[in-house]
Amino acid sequence: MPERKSSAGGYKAIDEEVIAILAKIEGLEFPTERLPAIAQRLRDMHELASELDSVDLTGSEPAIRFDPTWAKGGAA
Amino acid sequence: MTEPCDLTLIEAALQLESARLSPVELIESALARLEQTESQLHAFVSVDAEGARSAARIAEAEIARGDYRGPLHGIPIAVKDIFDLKGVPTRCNSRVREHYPPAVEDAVSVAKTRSAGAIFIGKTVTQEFAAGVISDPARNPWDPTRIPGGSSGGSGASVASGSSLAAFGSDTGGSIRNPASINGIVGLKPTYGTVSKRGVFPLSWSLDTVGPLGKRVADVAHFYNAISGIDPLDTSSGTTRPTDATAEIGQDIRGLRIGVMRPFFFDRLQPDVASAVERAFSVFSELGALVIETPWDSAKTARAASFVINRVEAAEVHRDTIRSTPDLFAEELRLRLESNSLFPATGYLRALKARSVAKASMARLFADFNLDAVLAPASAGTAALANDLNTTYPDGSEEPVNLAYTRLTMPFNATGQPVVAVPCGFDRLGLPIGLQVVGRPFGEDRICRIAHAYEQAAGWIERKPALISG
Repeated sequence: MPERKSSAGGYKAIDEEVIAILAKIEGLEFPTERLPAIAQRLRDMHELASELDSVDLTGSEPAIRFDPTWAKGGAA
Repeated sequence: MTEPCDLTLIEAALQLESARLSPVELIESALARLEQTESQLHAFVSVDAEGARSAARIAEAEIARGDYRGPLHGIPIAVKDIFDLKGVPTRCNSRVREHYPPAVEDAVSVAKTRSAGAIFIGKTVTQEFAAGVISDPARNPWDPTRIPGGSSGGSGASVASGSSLAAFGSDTGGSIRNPASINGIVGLKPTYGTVSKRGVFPLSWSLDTVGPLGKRVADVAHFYNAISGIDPLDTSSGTTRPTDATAEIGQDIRGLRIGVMRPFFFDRLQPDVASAVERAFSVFSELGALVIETPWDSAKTARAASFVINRVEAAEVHRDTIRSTPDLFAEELRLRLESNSLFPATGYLRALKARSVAKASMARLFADFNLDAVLAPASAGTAALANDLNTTYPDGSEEPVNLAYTRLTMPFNATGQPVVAVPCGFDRLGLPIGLQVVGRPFGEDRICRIAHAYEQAAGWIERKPALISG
């Protein structure tokens, strides 16, 4: 089985310049003085999301429309 | 002497039905308690005293002529200010909706309680758009220098202090269970999709749930029965008929199999929380349940997935207003929405996949151990000071309350399971501690049975907040 590549650490490169570019793509206008705080928050979000990097998601479907039901016998 | 507003919902209902108590007396008692406590608790954004009095007189006449509608008839309840209540603006504690007009109709869940005869005292303080756990300016009746948790913080403070006998809350990452725990009351986060969300302002549509806070497990079970049901016009509503949450209440729990998920849920707790929860496990054993160690290896995954989904969906909910009126958001939510607007779609989809993995893992855990429920602490710490919004640990480290109060609850928003949060003790400062009883999807009946048995045996429910016990 191929080794799963981790994206860990890439988000650390998010800085004010990256935020300005992403904001432009997204159609958002951020005052310059807000960019450092937004960059920090986005890094924090990526850091938390990186906890999912090690999870084997092979074959799993995204829960686009969430259904809480479990199948009989306990399988989801 | 017990004031009428200090009765539980079910105690009051029994007295109302048998005409030993009048709805007018009960409403006057709740309004008097509100008058007594509100200057310290700031739990309400609006109060409709005259409307409540008028409704009470009508309820009194209805009951007198034999038209008793059931356990919510004549009961004073409070409504979190993200729910539409006809004739009252839904402001979500945000300047964004400062000039929003009054709601033209009730949210579906509110309308159901109105039909059941409930009387609305007022609307309660929430964290801005239900996105957080502080609920400023509301305070905690056990110590008004402390926060009531959130985002259903005003609802929690109101029920704990007696200005309402039950209240509406919503739970996306723990916002019913956390204020229940922090205020020493009971909260029920239902199975995802069993209570309509129409007329409730969304935080994160695939995680949001609507449910009750009350003084006792039986109170929230009856409240849940009144508001649950399939709603074809709510896209998140399921097709499975919700359970009667009261169906098993009063049955003993001998022989039931209850799991304890020690790793993750015990990794970082205030010591008084850890010891209270450990003592609770002993009570379950003494009641005849089989308490089993059941480590859940997907807890961290579930929490991370829940966090990402929550943040990204909230950014999408507020997509227009964060562009048009960013200055009207409080700084904390503004930063959250701005930054998460830039989070990649692939990260969101990974979180949705991880959610499927976590849900399957929990289903296997229940199947492998043949479980009826699992237990976990509701919050890593007790109520924080309003001027120091951190949870402090014995090693001197601190954790912001928005993490400490949701770390142990968010996993079950990812899995969509029902959870009852029930008081399980007090810390050395006399602040309440809560326990989560987590069930199978649509297993509200079983978790209410288990939590009720514990509640009655453990005895914590006899204590009252200092603010009202004199």
